[in-house]
Amino acid sequence: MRISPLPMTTEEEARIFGIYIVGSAPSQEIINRYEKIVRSSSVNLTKKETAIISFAQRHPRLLPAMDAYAAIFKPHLELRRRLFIMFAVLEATPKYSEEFLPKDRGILYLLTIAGVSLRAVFRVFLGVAIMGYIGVRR
Amino acid sequence: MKDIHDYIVVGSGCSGAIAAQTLVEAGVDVTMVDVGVTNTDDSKRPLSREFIDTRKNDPNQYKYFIGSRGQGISWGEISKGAQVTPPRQYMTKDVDTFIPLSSKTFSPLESLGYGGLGIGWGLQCWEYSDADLARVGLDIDRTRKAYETVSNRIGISATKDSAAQYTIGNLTGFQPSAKSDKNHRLIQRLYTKRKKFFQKHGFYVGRTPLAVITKPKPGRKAYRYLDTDFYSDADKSAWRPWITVDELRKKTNFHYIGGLLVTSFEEKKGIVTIHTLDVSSGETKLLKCRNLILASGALGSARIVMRSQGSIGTKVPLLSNPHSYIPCIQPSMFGKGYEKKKLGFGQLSYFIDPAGDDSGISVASSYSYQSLMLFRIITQLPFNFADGRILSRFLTPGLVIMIAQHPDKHSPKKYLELIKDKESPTGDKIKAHYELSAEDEKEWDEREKKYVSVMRKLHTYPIKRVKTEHGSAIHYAGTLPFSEDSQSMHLSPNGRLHNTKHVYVADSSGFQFLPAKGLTFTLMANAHIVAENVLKENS
Repeated sequence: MRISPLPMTTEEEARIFGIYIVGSAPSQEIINRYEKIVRSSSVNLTKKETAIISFAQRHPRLLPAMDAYAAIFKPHLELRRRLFIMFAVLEATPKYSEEFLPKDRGILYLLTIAGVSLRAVFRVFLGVAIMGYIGVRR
Repeated sequence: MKDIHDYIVVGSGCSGAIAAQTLVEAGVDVTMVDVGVTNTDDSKRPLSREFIDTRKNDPNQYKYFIGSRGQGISWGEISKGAQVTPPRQYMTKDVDTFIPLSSKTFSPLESLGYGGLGIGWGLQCWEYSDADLARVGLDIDRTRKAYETVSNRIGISATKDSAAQYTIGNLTGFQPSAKSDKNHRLIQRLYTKRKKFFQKHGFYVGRTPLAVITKPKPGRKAYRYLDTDFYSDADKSAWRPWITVDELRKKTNFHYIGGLLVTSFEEKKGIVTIHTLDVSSGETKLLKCRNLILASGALGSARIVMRSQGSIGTKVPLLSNPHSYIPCIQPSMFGKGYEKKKLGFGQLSYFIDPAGDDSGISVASSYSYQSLMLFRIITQLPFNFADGRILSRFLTPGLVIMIAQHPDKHSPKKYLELIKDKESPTGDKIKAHYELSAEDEKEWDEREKKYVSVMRKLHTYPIKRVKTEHGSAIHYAGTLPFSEDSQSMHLSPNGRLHNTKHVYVADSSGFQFLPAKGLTFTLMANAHIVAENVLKENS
């Protein structure tokens, strides 16, 4: 498939990643922090890495599946590294602390765990198909 | 400042601080020479709020948890120093520049910081057994007395429980342990129920003695359970070498010279001339003294001695504890929420003593995970970040990290060598090699499997074993072993470097064997003994 440069700025990328991880758009302060860290640790992207990030930026709804695939088969992808940075930045922010701190189990505790685990597995299968389409092989 | 100093101590780490204190308390004039890198980062102020409170309310928390430049976000394999959080990372600053080391098999952590490796020490204070002290080459009675002295100085909290023979031995001068958290209370309860069974199989569990005070001492407050111990030294309740050095600097018979890297020494007519490198200007500066006490750590002191004795290409031995991380889960703790007022340090010690004589044992200690943040483990889980976050919130209250350590003995396959290096400011660097024998590998593997098996019986289920790079335990010793015979690159039993009259080594360089129990308490006891020996020889 055709390789295109990244279609979005790091700022827009940060917004997509923030929504994916905690479900809401991060504040400008968090976006700035993310940008600073990504820039200070920037790596030369290969064509494949560029294609993956570019696809994730253009299709944010498919990002969870791509991430799920990468978590198992390609854990060192640049996409994962950037998501990891956003994860750490969000975690070290008061506004999102409750989204990361240990949670008390309620009545639906086991159902939540089972549901999220099933969703995670489904996302891996979906990720296999998406990454295959982009041209990433296990 | 005198032209000729009476006593110069090199290094401000655990052994340097204790040796200097012994000398200062005896009333002699002491000068400490040190590079002494300090934290100039905006994370230098201690966190004075509790961890959960900080997480919920402190907008500057990122400086402590991930670093203002993201320097605490470590991507990829677990490497040396992975446990060093951003506020403590200054301890390794300038190390690669001024004391370079190359190796494919050994990956140590050294420090030029004010307080040395003690800046990030886990504070565990196990006493060595008589059998271990004998193998190390230390006088048993004097070391026992020195343990008491050090304990009274730094403040140790401990419990005389059923594993006391392995943890505190005969120590009497200690404070009560801080209360353990829910995870560890569960382990203790299950262990106590079947204590006879476990002990019959050579497995002992007890509270870890820690250099943390639970009752106030002058200038230091009792531990407040802030659970920020990986990031901050609030209230000085945890002892760090710089606390002692700061106190010594208030005395008139103590002088601190920072910014100087001691590179070598020469001794003529009872005077030792020390060559130093000013790390700011790159200039060479000379200092003279009557007695030189090296306390730069086993690698640092060996480097100085090899350089001083022109031993380029000579191999000196090396000891370092092999160790592994064993993450475990406690299913009954899943979904238990977070715990406030918690102890962040290692809480329980586990001993495997197949022979039952406290000799050649393996040791493990355990931590619960709460204050280490999810991002440090999230990539270890086979989940995407969004689902991994949700699941981790339920799982982390049941996560316990064990660190297993094994003893080490000398072998021709473990050594250091000083080689020429034009790019280094000192013109040389250390080349290290560390290789375990197949028998040792097998034995440590079997012991770790035993840990796995026994921990299951304590309803704490190991999920994997992560073997770390050699040297990452940050325990180094045995580079200038004690010897009765007057051989070069060896120490006499009183800590004096053979073939010198006034050069002593007060760190772990002289150890002939490295027991599994962390060495820091013993190297401080040894530093006190060496300082006493120096005073005696000068009296």
